[in-house]
Amino acid sequence: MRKLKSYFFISLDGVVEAPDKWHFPYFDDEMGAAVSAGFANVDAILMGRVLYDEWAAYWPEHADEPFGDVMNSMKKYVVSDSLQTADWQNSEIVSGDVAEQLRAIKAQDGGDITMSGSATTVRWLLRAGLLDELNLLVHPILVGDGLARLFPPDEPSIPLELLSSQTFKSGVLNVSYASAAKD
Amino acid sequence: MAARIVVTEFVSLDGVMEAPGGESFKYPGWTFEFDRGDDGNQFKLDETMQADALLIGRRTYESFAGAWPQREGPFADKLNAMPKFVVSTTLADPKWNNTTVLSSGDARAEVRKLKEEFDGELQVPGSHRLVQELIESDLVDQINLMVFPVILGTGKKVFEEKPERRNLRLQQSKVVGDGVLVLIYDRAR
Repeated sequence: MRKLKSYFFISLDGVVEAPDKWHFPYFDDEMGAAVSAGFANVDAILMGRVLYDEWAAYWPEHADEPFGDVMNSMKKYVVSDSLQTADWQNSEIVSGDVAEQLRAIKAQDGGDITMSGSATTVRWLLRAGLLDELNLLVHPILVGDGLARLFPPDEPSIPLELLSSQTFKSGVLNVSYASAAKD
Repeated sequence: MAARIVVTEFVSLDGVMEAPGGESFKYPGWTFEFDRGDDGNQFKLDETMQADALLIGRRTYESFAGAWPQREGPFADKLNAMPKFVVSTTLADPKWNNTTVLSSGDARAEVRKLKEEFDGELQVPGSHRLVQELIESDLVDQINLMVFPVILGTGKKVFEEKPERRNLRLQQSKVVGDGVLVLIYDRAR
């Protein structure tokens, strides 16, 4: 069974938007190792429409950058009901009964499937019991600033299970949760 | 001489702090569904013993004042004995032992003065509105969080959106009970 794993840089007040504005002072060897570990055994990326549009416009033109090759060649699953075609190399649209299709994809042979960002999709996956790991690198800062948060108000409740917790020297907390809502 | 202001909250992973022990809310008493373990209980007891006074908002005060005076034991005895400073313009006749009402209407000025004059640790449990004021005016020295493994999805959050950044320092972190995180942050000035 392939695991579906989501990763976020997040501030203590829950901000996930624009990490370029607050994350860098906390990047160190421990965080680098955690980010690399997140890609171990991964051979596909799942994303929502917004991130797909952003990346599909960027990476084909920037193949020579670090991660450029990987991003372009790796399998991409795009969850979207509105996207008609996905021309970025090795992309596949997942639409219709997304839960059913993702169950099938997870049951295929292969490596794990990672996610970066796509907060709306992640919350839906958690509620559907399809996300195996929600990995949060919690930065010791209140960002404020009106930036988007991982958890907006007025959504359903989701029970979780804490899988692991680790503290970096920088004060960043590396926590991993699974949905306790069973698929 | 200056007091140290320590905010202490039960929160869900999405930062909701509302009504952890009951009160009127969509999920009243939601923290009771989790096992925080003997180590979690010990942490809360040690934390309370460390307080020299409570600094609280009116709603949290009324909730506490309705429960603790009838109880006994080290936890209740400590809460009942120590001074309580309540920020409120409406609380007229507080019945709970050792209560002082800070009633001028200017919460920040009142707390600033108290912080200068009081010697020891002022603990702020619950008190959603007051905590927002304290964070905005940068009067918080430490934040203790007990993070329960659930996304509540709705309710008042400990960190509402703030215009100013605050850098913190993670002083302590541990897992207690069944997947409950205890996190202690200092304000990094």
